[in-house]
Amino acid sequence: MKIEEASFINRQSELAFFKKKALEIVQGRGEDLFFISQPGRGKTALLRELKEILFWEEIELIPVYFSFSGEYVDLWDFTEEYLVSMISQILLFKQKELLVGPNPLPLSFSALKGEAEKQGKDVLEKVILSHQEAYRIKDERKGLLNALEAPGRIAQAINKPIWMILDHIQEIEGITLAGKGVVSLWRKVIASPWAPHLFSGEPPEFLKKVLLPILDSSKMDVMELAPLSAEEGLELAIVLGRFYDLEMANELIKIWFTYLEGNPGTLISLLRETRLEAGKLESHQRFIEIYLNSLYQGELGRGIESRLWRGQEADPLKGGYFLRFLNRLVKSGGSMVPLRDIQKSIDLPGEMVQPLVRLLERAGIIGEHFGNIALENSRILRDWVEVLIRKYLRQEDLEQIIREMSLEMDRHLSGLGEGEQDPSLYKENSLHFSLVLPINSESELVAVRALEQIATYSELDETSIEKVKIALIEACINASEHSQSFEKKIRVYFSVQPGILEIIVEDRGQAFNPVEVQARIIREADPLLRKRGRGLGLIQEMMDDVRFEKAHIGTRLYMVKKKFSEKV
Amino acid sequence: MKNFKVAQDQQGDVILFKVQGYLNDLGGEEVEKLFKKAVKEGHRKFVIDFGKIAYINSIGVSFLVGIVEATREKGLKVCFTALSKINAELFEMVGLTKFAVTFPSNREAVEFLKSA
Repeated sequence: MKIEEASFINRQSELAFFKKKALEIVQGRGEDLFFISQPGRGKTALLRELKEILFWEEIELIPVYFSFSGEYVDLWDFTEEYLVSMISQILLFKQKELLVGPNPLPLSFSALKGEAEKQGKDVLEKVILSHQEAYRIKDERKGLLNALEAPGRIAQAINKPIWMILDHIQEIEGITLAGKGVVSLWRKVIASPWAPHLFSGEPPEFLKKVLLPILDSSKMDVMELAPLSAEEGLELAIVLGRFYDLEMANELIKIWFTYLEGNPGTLISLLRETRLEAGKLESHQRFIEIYLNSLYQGELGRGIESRLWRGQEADPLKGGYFLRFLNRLVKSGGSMVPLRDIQKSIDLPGEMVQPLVRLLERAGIIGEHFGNIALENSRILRDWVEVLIRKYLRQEDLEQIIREMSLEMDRHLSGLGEGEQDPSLYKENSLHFSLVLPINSESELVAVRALEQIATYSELDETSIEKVKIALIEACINASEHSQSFEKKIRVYFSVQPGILEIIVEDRGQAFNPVEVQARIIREADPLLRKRGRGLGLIQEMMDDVRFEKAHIGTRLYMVKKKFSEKV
Repeated sequence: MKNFKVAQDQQGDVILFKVQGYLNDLGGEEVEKLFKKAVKEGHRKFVIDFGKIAYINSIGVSFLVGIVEATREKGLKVCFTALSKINAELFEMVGLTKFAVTFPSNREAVEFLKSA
């Protein structure tokens, strides 16, 4: 068993979703899809698993997996890689009965032609000849378009749809034609029922802002991969622990995995580091030491840093501006800071602003909204930034960093453990109600009608109840629109006691925390300039306490209305 | 499921939209469509009657913002009537009432617009 196989845990609902999509392709109803998440959440493992399942399953669909993560000398190099990988997989699919096992090696380019001739696939020969002709006349655009159009042409000719599973799509940015990006060329080949695409990549905010609009994603579903649950994290840790021969405190792993944001990639890195550090992971303190060491000089830190300077010769960490920029964001305590303020406070030259922002956005470290910047809402990233600043700006050594950061981390880890046993909503002497709503147009009205009845137990006045209704409608819409939940459901929990109404709206999708951003927008910007984005600001205005909590999977919005509100 | 209706009426040179039910994106689009059509036909004074509205969400509010914005740009007049206490508060919160006068009844709004 290989590590990649061991690291694939559960994901049954996602696989079921993709299998359903595969059947739709077979029925001629295939659509292009986006599949995104924070780095390390397991997209690649899931897609490889999906490809294997579809390959061996009795289904008239050829799955083709291609990753953009390879290094290409030039556009011809990329085009040939794309063609060779795709045609190899198509030919091997046709011979799968003869294969003894999965993961066959791709054929060489010259061998492909011979194989295509042997199998009598005229269309494959034509694709290869078109490529050779484009190469002969040095027409890079023609060559690339031939490769991109090939799946659709081949699928139609052999009367069997092909599913193009394209992984690490963020790397497309580095592939250029005459100095310009090539992403827009994919627009010519999307929306083909014969060869739909499943584009997968990261980080979500960067893709949504930069790549998805070029690919005209408004016509596509964008699915976000949720974190694994704490139980799934434990399952993964036990499998890998055996593999690496580790001694672990299993009862604490669920807490650590929650701290690691349900990210299997991060857990795997951490367990690998543990193997190098005498193979024991038995206490919070030990976890903190290995985790911070990994961020300081190990796999976790290198993983984040490699996203920053992919393919660049210059190391951005050596630039003082980079660290001072991050330091300024850390000082803001995680809230949004106007870009101009940062530029001014660190004296950043104007020509460096956009490249720096782009670099950090592409690496998923910051988000930029309407000229305001904030660190991404990721605990691991924030820890990495803090370690980085202590290491390079304050010149602290690892021991000092561990000493300084341990207290806060330990307190947080202990809190996570308690939190699991004492959920905030469920107090004694209160009535509880819950609803599971499908993500449909206007299903929020079901929640609001339930609320009308439930609120009668609360002793809240009519105006307060009306405010809660507005907040609940917005919370449901928000969860439906932003969660990208695979199960297409949201959950609403009510807890009511005299004078207090508490509500949790939970989705099982991607975690997000835009409350602060939205509230700032609603207060500061000209209301007539804004068309959308008021929902979270309204929730905050209507309720007495609002906070986002990261659930094991997805996001939980917790809100309270009190009879004796402090709000005027 | 359709939880929204809009009826159009005319009193003198004032166009009256009576909205009913749940004003969300779908309802907002419907009102905006009727409003744009009336503007195209040359009408310049509008009343939106919220007396039978049950709920308004933020996207519905956005469409109203769009309408108010258009009236400002084109020098048109729009009034809101029969707002519940909570909707009046909501409209004030998002800045709508800065640019659209509110009245308890359509009669008062029409009178106001006649003299405007």
